[in-house]
Amino acid sequence: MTAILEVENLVKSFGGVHAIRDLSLSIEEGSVEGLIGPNGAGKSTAIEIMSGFLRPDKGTVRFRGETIQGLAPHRVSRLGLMRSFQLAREWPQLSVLENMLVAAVDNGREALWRALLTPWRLHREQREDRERVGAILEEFGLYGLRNDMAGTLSGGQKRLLEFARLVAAKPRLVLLDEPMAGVNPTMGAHIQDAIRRFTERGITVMLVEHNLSFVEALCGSVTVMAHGTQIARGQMATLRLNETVREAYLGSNV
Amino acid sequence: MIVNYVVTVLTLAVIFSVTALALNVRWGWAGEFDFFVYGLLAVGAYVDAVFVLPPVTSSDVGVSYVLGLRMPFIVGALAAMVITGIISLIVGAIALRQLRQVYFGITTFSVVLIMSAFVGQYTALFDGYNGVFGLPQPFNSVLNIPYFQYGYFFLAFCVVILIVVYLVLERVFWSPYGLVLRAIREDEIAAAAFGHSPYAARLKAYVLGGMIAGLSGALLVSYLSAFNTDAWTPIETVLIFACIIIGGTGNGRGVILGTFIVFGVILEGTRFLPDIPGHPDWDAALRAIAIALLVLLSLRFRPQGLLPERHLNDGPTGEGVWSRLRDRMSRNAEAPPS
Amino acid sequence: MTILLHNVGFGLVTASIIALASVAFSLQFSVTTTPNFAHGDILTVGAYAAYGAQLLTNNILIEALAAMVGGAVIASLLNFGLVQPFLRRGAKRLTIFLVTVSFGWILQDLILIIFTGNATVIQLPAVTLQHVGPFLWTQLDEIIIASTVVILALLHVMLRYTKFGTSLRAISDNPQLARLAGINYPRVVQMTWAIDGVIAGFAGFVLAAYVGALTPTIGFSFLVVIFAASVVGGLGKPYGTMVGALVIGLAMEISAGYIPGGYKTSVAFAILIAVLLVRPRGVFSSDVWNFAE
Repeated sequence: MTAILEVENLVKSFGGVHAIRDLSLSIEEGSVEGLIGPNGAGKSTAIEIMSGFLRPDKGTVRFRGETIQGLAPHRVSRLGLMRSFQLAREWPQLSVLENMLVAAVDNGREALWRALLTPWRLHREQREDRERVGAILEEFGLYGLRNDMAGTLSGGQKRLLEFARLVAAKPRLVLLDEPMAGVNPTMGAHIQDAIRRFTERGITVMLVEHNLSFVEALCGSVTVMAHGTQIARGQMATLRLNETVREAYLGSNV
Repeated sequence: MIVNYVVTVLTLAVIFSVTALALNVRWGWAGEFDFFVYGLLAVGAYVDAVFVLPPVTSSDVGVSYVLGLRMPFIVGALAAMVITGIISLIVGAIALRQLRQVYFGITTFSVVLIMSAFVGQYTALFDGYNGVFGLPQPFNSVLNIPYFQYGYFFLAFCVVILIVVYLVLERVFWSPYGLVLRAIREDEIAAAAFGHSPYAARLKAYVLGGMIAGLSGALLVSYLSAFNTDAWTPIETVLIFACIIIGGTGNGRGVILGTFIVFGVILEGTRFLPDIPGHPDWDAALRAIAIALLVLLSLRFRPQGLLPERHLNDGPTGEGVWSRLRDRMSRNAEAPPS
Repeated sequence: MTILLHNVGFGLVTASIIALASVAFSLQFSVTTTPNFAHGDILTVGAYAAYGAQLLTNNILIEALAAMVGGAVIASLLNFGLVQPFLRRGAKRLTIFLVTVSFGWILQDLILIIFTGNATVIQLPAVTLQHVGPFLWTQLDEIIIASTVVILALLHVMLRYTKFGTSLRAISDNPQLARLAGINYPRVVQMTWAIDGVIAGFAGFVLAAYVGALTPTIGFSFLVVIFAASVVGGLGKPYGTMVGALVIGLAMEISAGYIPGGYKTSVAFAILIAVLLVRPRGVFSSDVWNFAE
């Protein structure tokens, strides 16, 4: 299996705080990789760097062979590496349908000159987009809400919308930052199903989560971080028995 | 003479509707608090003027300005749009890189004031504080419409321009670009996460808005046949913001409605108050207070404006004039032959 | 060289007036993070209040007092009557900003109605230019500088050594924490607005006296210079703003020795823009506070 994402010797500090000391990890194409670790391990910082929202002090990030660390986030996204946010970031004053369309818009179509000079062809393309996006909304059970303002959705619905948007954007790899955050725990199964839709479409997933049974249910392999570096990697069952991992989670029931 | 007065107010309302539509692109759609629009209107006015006026001759005492190409209105207006487009590009490229919201507002506000001081002081450019005057009436060297009818012609011409600008902007609003721009306004980090460059989209909106503001400046100076720095105060900018707040932020029709409300009703309304001797400023001041109160009321009770921003819904009615036209055309094509 | 020093002297006077106006602005901003676009008009109200007092008595002290009271009243009115109600309904910062814009607009026009737009003058006792060290000042200049120093010193004492001042600094540092620590948030906000009004009103009086002519837009025209000083020093940092005012005031007057006087305010604006582009948080800031968030 080829590695779709390779991180090598990443270092990042904020002021005096070493958020990431020396992080290396890799994700295999088509897999669902978990990323776990105690608070302050640097998981979210790692996601920010991988998706281009932060520049590392040192180290490289390679996506499908291309070096991407330091690129602006919208460029990273266009290469096919996308992410979700801990607090679901929908566009509140746009409708659910519009939220989907913004995500679905292909790079060429958002050009201003196209709006002015090729309106007819653009109209046809927009109609195709709408159909595709409508089907995805249906799949996620959000079709009935398509004309509602995204800001009025519940926490769980916003999370589903986030995933739906990611699917519409046709990425190769998605980094999901704590998808259960802000979601009613009873929706856990729903969210898991939603994440499986990525895999069905051949999209690789990296999943950061605190809820370890959630991680176990979805992920083949899991990377464990602590103090800004990787301390273990393997299947969840094996990791539960790993001394280093247990120490890192000191006190908590692994 | 009431009829002429109505024409005057209507023409000004139409011209400033164009300006308001320009600001709407930057503020309503892109969410930038941009004070620079009025500066660009002034630039458009000056550029059109120096293209359209004859060159300064030795017999013009105490008057000086650059160029003076005696071109027809169309050339002047196009030049105005090109120059304001370029200036928008430069200012936008620098300011949009880092500045947000109020910092952006303060910067653009200051730039306009610097420009105003510069134009006023450096008389060789646009005749300083006296300004330019004596512009010929657009198209009239060809059409030769008598003086009293010309007002109607020019009003009709401005209405046509307004309609064209409105339709073009509608097209942009419903396009993917327009949608992406509004998403960036809502949350630019999420937009970047989906592959859209906030800087690029905002810059395009800036240039588009700037060119339209320049066009409105060309219209204004042609209508007034004069322009100077007195017409150029921050209050006018606030006025245009008021039109958008009252009428509907982000909604083209709302913006036009708001402009007409502000210009037509208020300006009309208090003019019929008696002039109080010794206080000639009461008129203008009362009108301004009325508008400011309307703005406060809007902000309190209807912050989205009278006509709120529209959204893509299913079905043909969700996409504005263009889509309705298209759907009607395709329906006609599909109708079975009788 | 003497001219340069004279200009420095004038710069100190200008800096004093700017300092009064912008420290008031920064103080209010540090507590409420509301950019008050009507701030300049509070200066105008102060100036006209003094003028009004002048019509009744010719006592400079009473005029100064009237300016301060006028400023305090208007500032409190803005806070009580508009800003608080809007905030209670969850208005966004930008909306509050627009509210202050409208309020300032109304103020200007009310003053226009009451006092007409004709320039009026604050009458002062005759002054002469004297040499004070290398500088060339009138008694008015000296009074301006002296009163500025006194007011800023009082402000410093208040901020450092009184309970109220500590509460104010706590809120400007971390509003949530301050609330949790039991500080009476609304009270501090009201008092801050009032203090802002007192100082701004006095600044308006001084400005009108210095400039010589008083029009309804005198404060508003000064607004961008106030922004310039505040931004250079760091929005919401009163001490930094004092330095910012010094920088702007000196730059304005010194530049007048080299370029035509009409460009004086442009110099201030140019510095403002330069700082905004290079270090938007102000020359003295190091915190990560971002206005847009």
